[in-house]
Amino acid sequence: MTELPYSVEVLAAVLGDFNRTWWPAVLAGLIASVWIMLALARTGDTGLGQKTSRYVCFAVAGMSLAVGGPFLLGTMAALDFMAPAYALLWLANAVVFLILGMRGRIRFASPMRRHRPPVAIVAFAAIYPMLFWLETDAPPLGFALPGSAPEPTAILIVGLMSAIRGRLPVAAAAVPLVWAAVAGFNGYLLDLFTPFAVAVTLLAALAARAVMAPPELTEGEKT
Amino acid sequence: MMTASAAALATAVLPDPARSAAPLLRPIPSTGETIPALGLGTWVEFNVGSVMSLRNVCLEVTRRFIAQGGGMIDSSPMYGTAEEVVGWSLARLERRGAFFSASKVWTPAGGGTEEQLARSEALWGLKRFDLMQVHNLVDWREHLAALTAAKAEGRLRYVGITTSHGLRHAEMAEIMAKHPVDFVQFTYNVLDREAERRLLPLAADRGIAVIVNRPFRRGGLFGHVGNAPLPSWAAEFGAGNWAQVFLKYILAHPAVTCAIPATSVPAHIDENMGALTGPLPDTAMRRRIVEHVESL
Repeated sequence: MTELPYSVEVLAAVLGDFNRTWWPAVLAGLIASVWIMLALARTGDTGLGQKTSRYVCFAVAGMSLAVGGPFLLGTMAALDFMAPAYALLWLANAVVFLILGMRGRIRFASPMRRHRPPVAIVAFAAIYPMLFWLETDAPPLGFALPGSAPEPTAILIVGLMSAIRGRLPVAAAAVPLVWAAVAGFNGYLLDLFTPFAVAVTLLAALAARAVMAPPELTEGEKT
Repeated sequence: MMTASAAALATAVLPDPARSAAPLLRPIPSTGETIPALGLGTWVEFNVGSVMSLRNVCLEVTRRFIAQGGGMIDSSPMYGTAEEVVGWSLARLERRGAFFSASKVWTPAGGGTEEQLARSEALWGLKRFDLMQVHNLVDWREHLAALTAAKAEGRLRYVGITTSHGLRHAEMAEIMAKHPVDFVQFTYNVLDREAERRLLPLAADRGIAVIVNRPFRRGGLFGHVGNAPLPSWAAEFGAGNWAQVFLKYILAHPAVTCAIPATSVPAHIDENMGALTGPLPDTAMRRRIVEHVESL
């Protein structure tokens, strides 16, 4: 199939309906996104502590649950027969980040003097809704918001991926990798530019990790 | 029966004096029953979920389509909420009138043929479909056998098979040659003419009704012609806009039973339905249309 079964106009209208219907979850996801951005922006050279990093993982788990559940299964599945498959990816991501948070072995850092890309990418996730809204000429509430809609949430996870200290857990990279492809393909089919931002930020994050990775975990932190 | 009621409705409610001529009807070869040569597709355009503002637009599209003598409404469980929106729209028409119901079975939608048939009937609010097709030849052996059995039991009136985008023509031709189908549906338009080579002649030869999908290439033909003015010779076959040129080109093929342009713009229904009346281009004019459109 070389077409999506819905139009840009419908997607934008459905986003508006979704934001209105699920506003508590949407608002919670948005607040969590801003909190993650501020937490990363305020981090020092050693990055976020174990406790805060756990909370970030739990927040991402909650966001992934919102994307996979209410948005993809509860809303988009009626429009797109592929949505349930995508929902499984996001629900699996929720489990992955829940486990990462419970284990407490993952730490995030984005020292402002040396490694700003993660903050920039997470901040872009907050800007994404406006770009999407402008490009789609959406109704007043038709924003794709980080924390509940897939593309900006994937961008936020990409930003976090670039902030992970030490080895990158492969499972944590699943959504960024897969959604860069899905969003890009959907953007191509819908003739939209903004969904390509997932792939662009992913490439930026990988480049950032290659040239100025966050500080490694110390031996004490590893234990 | 669809034939008499559709013709009566069409002549009774046509609002435009310019369209006072009888609308073009085409016979279904397997029975001789006639249906209006223009239908309504629902791919993408009727998949609007529960957004009421968009549903109301679909309702207006359906109202105008039926009021102006349109016949077939074609949908599929693969089209997301399209079937539900069709049923929702039909239930809200003041005058439901006559239309020819066509949907499809599509395995990934869940359940077997019978379950899908029952689900579509419930969504449309119908007791029985006029036509049920195997969508994109998915599991066609199983579905076609089940649909043929359902037709024999009187659960539906016609069976068909579909494909689109010019894909799987060889397989479709094989099914047409060996199995008793009433309808086939495939893509055909002024720029996508692959079907002229094999499927259209085979349909004529086998006495199979032809439904043409993507008559505007999903709107791509309008992008192709851009701002090019309508050629003056379009008036010779009664085309007042590009949509009517594209549709009359298709309907002029003798093997075509109906074309099913999809739209969610009520004004486009008015434009499209104009192709149901007036003369059709002859062979030389059809060639001229192709040459002109290809040159743009």
